Amino acid sequence: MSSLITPIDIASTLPFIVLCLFGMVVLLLEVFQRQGQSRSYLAYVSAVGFATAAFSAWLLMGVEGQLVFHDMNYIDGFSKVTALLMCTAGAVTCLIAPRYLAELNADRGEFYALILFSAGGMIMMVSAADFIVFFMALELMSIAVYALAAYVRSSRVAAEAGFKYFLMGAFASAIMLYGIALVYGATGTTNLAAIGQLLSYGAASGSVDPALLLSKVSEQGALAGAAGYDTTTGDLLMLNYGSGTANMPLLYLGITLVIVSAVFKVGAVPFHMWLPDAYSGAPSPVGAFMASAVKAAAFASLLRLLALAFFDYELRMGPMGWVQVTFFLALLSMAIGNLVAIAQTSVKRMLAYSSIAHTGYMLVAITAMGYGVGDLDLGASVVFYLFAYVFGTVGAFGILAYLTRSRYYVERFSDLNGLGYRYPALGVAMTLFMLSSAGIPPTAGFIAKFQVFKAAVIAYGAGVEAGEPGALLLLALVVSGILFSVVGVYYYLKVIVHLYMRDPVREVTASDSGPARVGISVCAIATLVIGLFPGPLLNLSEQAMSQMEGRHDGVYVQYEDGAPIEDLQRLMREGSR
Amino acid sequence: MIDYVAILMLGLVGVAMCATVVALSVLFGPRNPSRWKGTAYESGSEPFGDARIRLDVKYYMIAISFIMFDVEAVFLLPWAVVAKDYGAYGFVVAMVFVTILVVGLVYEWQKGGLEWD
Repeated sequence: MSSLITPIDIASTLPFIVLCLFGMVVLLLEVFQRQGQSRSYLAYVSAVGFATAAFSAWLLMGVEGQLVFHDMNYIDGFSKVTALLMCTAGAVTCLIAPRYLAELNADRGEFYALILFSAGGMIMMVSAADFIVFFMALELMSIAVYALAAYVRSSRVAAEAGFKYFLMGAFASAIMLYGIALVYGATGTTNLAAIGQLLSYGAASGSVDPALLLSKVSEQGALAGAAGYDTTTGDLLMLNYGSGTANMPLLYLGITLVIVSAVFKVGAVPFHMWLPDAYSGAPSPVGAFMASAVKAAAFASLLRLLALAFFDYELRMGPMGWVQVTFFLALLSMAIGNLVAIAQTSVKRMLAYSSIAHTGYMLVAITAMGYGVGDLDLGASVVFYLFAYVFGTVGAFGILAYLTRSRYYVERFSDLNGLGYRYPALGVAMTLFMLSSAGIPPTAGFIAKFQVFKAAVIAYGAGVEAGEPGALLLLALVVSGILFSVVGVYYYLKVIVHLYMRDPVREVTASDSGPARVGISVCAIATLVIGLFPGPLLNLSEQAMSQMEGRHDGVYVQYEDGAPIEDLQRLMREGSR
Repeated sequence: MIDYVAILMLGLVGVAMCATVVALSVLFGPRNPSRWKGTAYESGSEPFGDARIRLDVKYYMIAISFIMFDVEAVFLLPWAVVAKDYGAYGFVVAMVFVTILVVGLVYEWQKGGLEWD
């Protein structure tokens, strides 16, 4: 029976299943324990859960990339590598949390359960092969984080953060759903890869018979059932893409809404308004989780969406193509993020704005990826950047959580005064995180920024060679990116100045939490090691991109004799001139 | 496209009928305004207070429990109809689903979500 779930289906979603199981176990442990007892051990339980999930993702490394669960999910290099990233971020978050929660009188097990469920949603989201699964996973991730943001019930700021995040997130979800509906209306399918293929074929189908093309699509693998045609009559459900007039605005509107919703989640300017309040109002460990795992998941899924569904030349580089959108988003995010961060007096808000700036740098790479002929391998720089960024951010938030005592939040720059001498290890770690965020060698952040800008320069070179319009603008984006990261150095160094060169204004005693120390050390060591030996991680992120299943590189159709059809992308480009 | 014409017609006829009735009563109806006729009418009594009041959180707990059983019924009913065809496989899948919901129920029960006071 075709409806049966196969063992490979279960195996490929093992990281997700493990996280959800651990989440449920943590919930039950929480309710069957007497009130008033410490819940700190649940942090270890969750960390074990994350380690198990990461281990299962690692075990799956040998499995060949393929569609599972009836074309609803992918198991491929990309989903596995990003699963490792989410698990790391989640585990470190759980480690820095217990003492902080106890200090704030919020020591409840639901925290860990929500983190586990949310991370499960992320893993599902980046492996989704279908818009429906994608949206469900997005909600699983988001709803858990809404609750987490307002987790400290006694705090007004946290309630405000939670409410703002919830309202904005709910709007973004609604926008996403509307966009998905419009894309479905224009293409007749919710399958990401099928959308991408149909759009390309449709664009070139002036001379090609759609039915023939679809029979070719089905030869390409498991996409047959998911592709947008009626399996009984063989009719193409998609409204005429190439020749049509009515559905093109629909498609562009749909894509725009989907992208807007995605950049809402990653917090790119001008969709960043919620971000500083949410990051700084939420408890520090939650801020760490939102800034690292949630943002990484949103970026990874944006990569997947663009690479699979919307990588058609016309959609990227056409008069209404998304490359222009990401170009301006990148520019604005780098500018606003860096400039506004200078004015902050709260370290948390500074980190929030710096996270907006990092969004901008990563969007530079996404712009480069979609520019010109389009090179999906350039997306590897985003994956690498996410790793570097996650360690730096979780570590910095973790240190703030580590220093926070009951009733006294460590948030202002002046709170850090002189701590570099009082807690040498902590000072070194914070210095590392700041250097990494600023992109100064020998830290991970330097290699990451280098990769991102390198990607843009490569795309510029390819663009010049192919005679694409506006290649110089891409170079201008790189230059402004570098200039803005110089601006960024100011406020990152300000933290170090306060750590070492200012006299303390008040007594700050660290909470001295063991697990938090482990978590922060892991981040610091990772930041340094990745900076010194970036090779393995670079390979891993390149692998993630090159092994992304269903990615749309333009050439799909093979003639009977095995010779590939002319490059559709080039065909379209010539057609559009 | 032709399918939508009927819907469009329905909408137009509906609007036209409403407009006609309102227009007729405006044109031919008697009009004797008074102070009492001008007041807001709310189930026969004078409206007072603000509509935005705080509701007890208990109502939300009940609503959440309702959703849990609601979703359970929505998915289990179709399964029950074809349970024979799906055999052991269908049973296992349905039980996995029920187990997840039961974890939620146990959690809510233990947290005191089912107690009114």
